[in-house]
Amino acid sequence: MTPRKKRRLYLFAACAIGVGSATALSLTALSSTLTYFLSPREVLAKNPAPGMSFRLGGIVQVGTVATTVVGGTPTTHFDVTDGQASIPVTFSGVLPDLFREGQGVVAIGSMTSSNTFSADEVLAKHGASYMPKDVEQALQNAGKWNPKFGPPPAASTWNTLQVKSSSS
Amino acid sequence: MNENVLAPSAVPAGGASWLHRYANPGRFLRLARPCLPWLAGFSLILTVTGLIWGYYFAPADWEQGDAARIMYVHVPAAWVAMAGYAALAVASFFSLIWRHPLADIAAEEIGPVGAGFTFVCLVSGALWGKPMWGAYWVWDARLTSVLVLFFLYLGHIALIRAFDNPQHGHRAAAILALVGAVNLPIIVFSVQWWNTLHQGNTISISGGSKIYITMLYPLLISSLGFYLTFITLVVARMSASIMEKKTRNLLLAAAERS
Amino acid sequence: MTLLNTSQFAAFINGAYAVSVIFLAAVSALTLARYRNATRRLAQTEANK
Repeated sequence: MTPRKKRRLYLFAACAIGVGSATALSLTALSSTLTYFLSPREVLAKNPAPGMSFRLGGIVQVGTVATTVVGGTPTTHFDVTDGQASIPVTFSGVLPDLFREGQGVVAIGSMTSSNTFSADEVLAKHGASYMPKDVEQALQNAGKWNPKFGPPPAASTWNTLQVKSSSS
Repeated sequence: MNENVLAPSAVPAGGASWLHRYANPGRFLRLARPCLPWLAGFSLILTVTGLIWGYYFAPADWEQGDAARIMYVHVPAAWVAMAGYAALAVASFFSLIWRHPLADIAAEEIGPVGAGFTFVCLVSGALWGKPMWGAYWVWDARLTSVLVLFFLYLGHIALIRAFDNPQHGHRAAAILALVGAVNLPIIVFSVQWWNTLHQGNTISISGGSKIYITMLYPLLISSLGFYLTFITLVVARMSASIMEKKTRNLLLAAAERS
Repeated sequence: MTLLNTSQFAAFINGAYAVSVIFLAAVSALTLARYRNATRRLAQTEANK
């Protein structure tokens, strides 16, 4: 094989890999993971068999978080809600830093026979609103927002808000 | 060249002769040379200002604390990755329909730069995901579609150089770039169309950006810096490519004479 | 002025900035070298014509 042909072959292979993986990834995404998680309502409607692995996503319901430490490993119980339905979740291990009541989470695991969700992994899903701490405090103090109960009010009410204390 | 060529009667059939007249490589080179130092200067000033502002002076986020500072590199890189691909698709369109040499050069030089910015977007995103979400990578629709964008860039880079006849390479790569452009709206709307771990869009052109003003300014400056850097790099690489071709032609002509 | 060695996530934040800055610096240096080289070679070739 001439070096030129060889080079063509290699380049062709590189293209094929690039294009092939692009297509394969799109197809993978399109078939099964277009939706990354199921909401509690969808889970109740689908009623997945115990032991079948899936991702459950929603908000950590206020007042449902309880942690017990057994043999050095913390086990946390909390409910994940979408505002209409809720599912109790059990997780043993260290929760992500952002975990709190009212926080969005995605839990990976399966249902148990006792209708609770046993999570192997818990990921935090944070919001798309960015503001300094003192603006958040000002909104809380004014009674306009409590992060435990959902996203902040319309951005136009706070994204140029003047606060007394200086940040940074 | 006769400068009075805009008269309709002077435009030959095809209608696109203005393109060839006003966007020929020689003219591009003459226009680009005095612009490049200015472009490079503004790129540097804005990028450095935006990054230092974001890293040191912008306030920490209420929810994510200092980790939100990764936004000032991640978001501009993501925007440039997508805008660069849009530019690649436009160049490919002109290359395919009009066979314009400057469009071919543009497509060839946008690819590697765009791939680099996409890589920065992916890496900075992973470094943001680990401390906040708890995972470097998840296969949700937003992350997957940006990874596909990266592979489209890599495929384009390889394909445009894969043929002995450069025309064939430009043609094939242009088709790939145009087919791949369907991925751009998927990236933008993925967070609205499907459940994703990635959060929704913070900045919206139709008003109501969900970001406090002292964090918006460094983000915009940094983005402007990244955009200008991209433009500077592409214009400089296109100029270099044109000069390399000129040199080659001169050497070929000299070889033929002797 | 907030110095980020105080954040518990400093490694991630600094890493993300480092990757970006190294990329921008490297690609700018490569492009500048290529541009200068192309300019020099073209001038040389035109002079020898």
